[in-house]
Amino acid sequence: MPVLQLSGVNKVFSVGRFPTVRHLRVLNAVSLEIAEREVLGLVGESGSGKSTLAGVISRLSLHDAGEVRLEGALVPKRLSRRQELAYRRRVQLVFQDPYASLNPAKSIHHAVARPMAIHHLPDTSADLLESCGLSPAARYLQRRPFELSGGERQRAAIARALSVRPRLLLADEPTSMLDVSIRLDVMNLLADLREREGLSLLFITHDLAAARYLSDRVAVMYAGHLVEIGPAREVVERPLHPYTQLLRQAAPKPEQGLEAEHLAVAGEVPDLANLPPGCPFAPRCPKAQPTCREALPGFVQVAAGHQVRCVLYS
Amino acid sequence: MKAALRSRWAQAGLVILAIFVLVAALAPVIAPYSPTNSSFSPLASPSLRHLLGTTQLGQDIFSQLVWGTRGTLEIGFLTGLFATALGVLVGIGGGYLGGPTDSVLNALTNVFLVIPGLPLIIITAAYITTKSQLPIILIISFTGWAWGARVLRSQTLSLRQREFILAARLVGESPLRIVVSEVLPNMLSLIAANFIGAAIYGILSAAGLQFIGLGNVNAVTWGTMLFWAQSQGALLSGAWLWILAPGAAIALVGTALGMLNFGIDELTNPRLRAGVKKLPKPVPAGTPEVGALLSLQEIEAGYQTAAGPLTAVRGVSLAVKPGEFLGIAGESGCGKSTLAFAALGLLRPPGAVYRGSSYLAGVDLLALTPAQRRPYLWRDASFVFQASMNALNPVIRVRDHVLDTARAHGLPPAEAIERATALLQQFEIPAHFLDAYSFQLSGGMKQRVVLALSLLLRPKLILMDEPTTALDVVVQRLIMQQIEWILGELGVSIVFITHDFSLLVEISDRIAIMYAGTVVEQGPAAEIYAHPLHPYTQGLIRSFPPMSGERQVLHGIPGHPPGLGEKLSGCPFFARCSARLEGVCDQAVPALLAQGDQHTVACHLYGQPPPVAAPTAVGEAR
Amino acid sequence: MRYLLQRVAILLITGWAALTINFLIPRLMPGNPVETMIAKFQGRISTTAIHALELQFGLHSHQGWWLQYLDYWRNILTGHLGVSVTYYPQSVGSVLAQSVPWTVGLVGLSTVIAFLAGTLIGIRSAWRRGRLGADLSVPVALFLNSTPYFWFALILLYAFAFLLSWFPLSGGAASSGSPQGLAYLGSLAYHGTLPLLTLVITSLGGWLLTMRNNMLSTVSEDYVAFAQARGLPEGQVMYRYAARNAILPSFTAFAMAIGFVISGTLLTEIVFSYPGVGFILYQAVTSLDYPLMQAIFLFISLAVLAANFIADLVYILVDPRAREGR
Repeated sequence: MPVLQLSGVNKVFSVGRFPTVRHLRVLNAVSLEIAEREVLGLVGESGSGKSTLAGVISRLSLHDAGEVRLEGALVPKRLSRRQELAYRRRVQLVFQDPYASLNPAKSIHHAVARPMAIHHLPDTSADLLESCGLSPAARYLQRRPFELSGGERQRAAIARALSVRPRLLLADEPTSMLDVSIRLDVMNLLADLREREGLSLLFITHDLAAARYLSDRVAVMYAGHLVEIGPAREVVERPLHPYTQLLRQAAPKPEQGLEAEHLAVAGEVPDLANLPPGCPFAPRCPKAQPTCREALPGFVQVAAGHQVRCVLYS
Repeated sequence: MKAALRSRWAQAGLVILAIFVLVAALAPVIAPYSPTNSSFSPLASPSLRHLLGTTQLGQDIFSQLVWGTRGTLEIGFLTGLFATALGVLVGIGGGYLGGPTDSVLNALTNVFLVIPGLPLIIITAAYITTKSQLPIILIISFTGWAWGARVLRSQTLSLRQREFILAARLVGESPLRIVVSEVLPNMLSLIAANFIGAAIYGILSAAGLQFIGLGNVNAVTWGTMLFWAQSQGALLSGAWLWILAPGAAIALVGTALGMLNFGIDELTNPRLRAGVKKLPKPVPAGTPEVGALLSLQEIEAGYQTAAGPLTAVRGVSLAVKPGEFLGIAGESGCGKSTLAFAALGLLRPPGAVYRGSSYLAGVDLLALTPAQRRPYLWRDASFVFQASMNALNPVIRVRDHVLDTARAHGLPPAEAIERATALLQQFEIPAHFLDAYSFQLSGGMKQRVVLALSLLLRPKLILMDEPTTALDVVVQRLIMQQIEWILGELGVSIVFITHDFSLLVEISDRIAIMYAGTVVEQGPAAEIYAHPLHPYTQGLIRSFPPMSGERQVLHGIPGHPPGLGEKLSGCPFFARCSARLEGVCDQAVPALLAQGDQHTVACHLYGQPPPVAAPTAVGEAR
Repeated sequence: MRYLLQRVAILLITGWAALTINFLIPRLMPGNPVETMIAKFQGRISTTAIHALELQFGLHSHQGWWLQYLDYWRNILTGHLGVSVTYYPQSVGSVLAQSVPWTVGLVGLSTVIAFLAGTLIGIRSAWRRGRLGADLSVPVALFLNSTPYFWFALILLYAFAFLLSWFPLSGGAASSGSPQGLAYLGSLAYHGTLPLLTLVITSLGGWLLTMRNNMLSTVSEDYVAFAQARGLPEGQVMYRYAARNAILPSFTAFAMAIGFVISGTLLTEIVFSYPGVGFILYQAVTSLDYPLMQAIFLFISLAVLAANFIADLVYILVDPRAREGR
């Protein structure tokens, strides 16, 4: 049974005030599953809705339509305080910015031990820090965030998320604010945790190479739509959707020769308040056909477990 | 809070305030007479018996002043307390709860912000007949909380969206507990500032009220002293000290409180921190490299802090040839941005260049005064910033940026607009965006407008500091293509600074790798990528997971770079290096030595450690 | 446009709230204002006047508060503000009408001068920070900012009117001989200089500090660095790039500042016996002339609202983002 199932999840943000309210369709019929012990990479540019999706799964904001199932059970929109706490014990989130995600006025011990207290768990903060690579833990427990380096902070933030022993960990660009030389080891820590704790992981990133490195499967989002999902190597190395292809083209790949590919695409991500009726990528797509602008294509199964939302493959 | 008290303003304020508090506490000891004792001869001149003379009624003015300190500080303290409590409740409560509660509370705050305080106090006080101070204090508090509520609310709103608050919600923390234990500790300085502001307001308002005879005029405060002095014609009878002393005391207490607040302001907004010493010009060094367009010689630069100067760039020499693309890669804190600003003499206080020369076409920019330097800037070398998001003045149009630049360098306006239009077109921005403000442009457009501006005067060199960092991959690639066009078509030299080494390999002629304020390796791009020599460069290149090939476990570089102020006795990379030679690498700073034709590296693995007193000995804390 | 609508909405809500507070105060306060007044004036008020007062303050009235509130609004909208007790039988409206021009002139002129001077010094003090002259402006401004207006007025009065006799001890213009034309203006200046000076000097500190802080924040903005990188002249960078942006928050601070200035003006007028609203308010307070007090509060509230609205309009003119409704 998958740990998490989303089907047809929609989310609209209303921004601005009367009379200029704009309804941004940030998530549009997003359906996906995360299996037990699976790492699902979620790739997209800013504004693609990938962080909003993490927000919906972690219940920082509630979806407008669609279903969220955790361990097979439908999660209703309204939860009692007890149900809410039970959900939070299962699903946790690691934020992008380790400089903002730890309370500057509080010690690392507070960050890690307070969740344990809320959920009536024994205080195992020292062991937890050690297992997240903050060793010796005694050196870190009483420190405050500003006394830690960026990498150490992110490890502390991961430890906080793990303090309630969740089943599913959402990691929202956990390495993008970190220096290049320490990113890999934070990703390795996440990989370790999957092995050791049997965690499932939603790994959100804008970096195809990072997604390929860490994930079992990769899903690609564009303008609030899921456009492609499949095994990590297939999606990254042989992308099917023109948008995924564009992402791959745009990424620097020094290992594949020193001449960069020339991008032939122009334009920008569409306005989420005025999404085009068909495929959201059609206005920029070099392979767009007239039908692309009429209706949103459905998912096509191209290979085992590899689906793409594009008329080129139907 | 402790840090706030380190400010010199706060210390001065605190000392003055402490004296007044002491006087208030020890009033019975300090005051020679009872403030109401009217047995002395009226309107006596100052003397040893009556330091400030006596009143019309024969009371000792000095004793009144001392006792008045008590009454006045009491009013200030209580008003501060009540107004702050109201402000905290309304501001933080509304800000955190949000929704309709917040809308109502916010409307209320706006109303009280605009309703004129003193007239309302006067009117209300006029209805009050009791002789107690308390109603007056309450009324003043009631008119004085709104500003605090507004500030606290906006701070709460911004904190509420901060990730550590979201994280607390995520682990199931209750709203009340989030406000009390997560939000409040981060607002203490703001609340303190609010308290101090309200106290000043309370003292001044109460004094004004008492001056016109409202409230209890028989209480002894500085305000009532002024009331009696005025109503009994102190000035006309020459008893000017009777007026001067209490008023000056009010102003002094207010100033002390204001200084305290100023110290807190400096703490919460580091930009306000003053005390920037003017530095002498940096000591020139070296001579320009032959054939180089820009030649940096032994640049040492950093930041002056209260704890002493920090060194961010520890002696960097680099050269750029005409038409060349030099990539500089390094991680946060390696000094690459400081170097870029230092090179053009644009480092602003507290940043400072301590030593070195920057020869641009033979002229040492660092030896010039700002006014002498201005003609070279932009005409010979332009500068594209990391945050082009904010590089455009938000209140003037793109066109005005073009015209201002042209005017400063004597380019006729018509020609400037013509050039700008052509450049914008080249960067795929329609000409009508000349009349746009920066908020009307998307991130990628802003960056392209800045690129167009950078070419306006046809410079020989463009410095680019992380020009694509905040942008998405696709936009980043498009900008890189534009930069390639600039390089290829216009033959401009480019210095491109980035944390993303992978971006440099494809476009650079040469790459320099910076670590902890030094250049550790430089050479032709292809060679650096294919045969990196320095262990740091090797580790950096391995840190990028590939897009193809078998997946395997990779490792980054353990540890983190030394801090800006750290004193280095050996190689700055020593602590993180897997190939370090104990007893060698930690003993001497490696010099940048040639390895082959154009490749240089600063590593003891590739040569003998230089003598200790080498001219390039860097890393000394200054 | 949206910004403007928003400001108008706030203006209306605030105006309504201020007037309602004005209505509520005499009804919520303990005691009976009319009786207090009758006691004080010992038969010098006619019974009709007493009856009018009782109506105005809702005493012995069988009307519910709601009807009284409607009456209150009807009176305001038709300009019936009651009869002054101090200046009996003048109506409150006509007393106010005589004093308003004095105060508006004083507040207007001193606010403009103090704003311009304080802002200018603040700009330069921030730009040249680190030098003694520039940094010294801070404690001086803090001192001025916490100087009680009326006390400073007393000091000026003592020094320049009493000791040196350069200026008159009281009044707003020469009363005898009622001079015409230039001579009248001269007389205005002769009487107005000290009050104006008091207000300008004591309120200048606030503008200075506000501007200095804003300016220091703005100076480290990227667009200022970018302007310097383009080799623009120093003055242009300071004024057109830094100050032009730093001044924007000053307009938001206006709401509070104008309230302080008006408060200061009231007290200053009392010291100089300057025939403005403050002086009248003082008379009203000392003689418990509640109708007059109420009318004055009404006037001041509306004046502050108007001043704020003007500040909002100026803000729209200087910030393109406000124009575009961002």
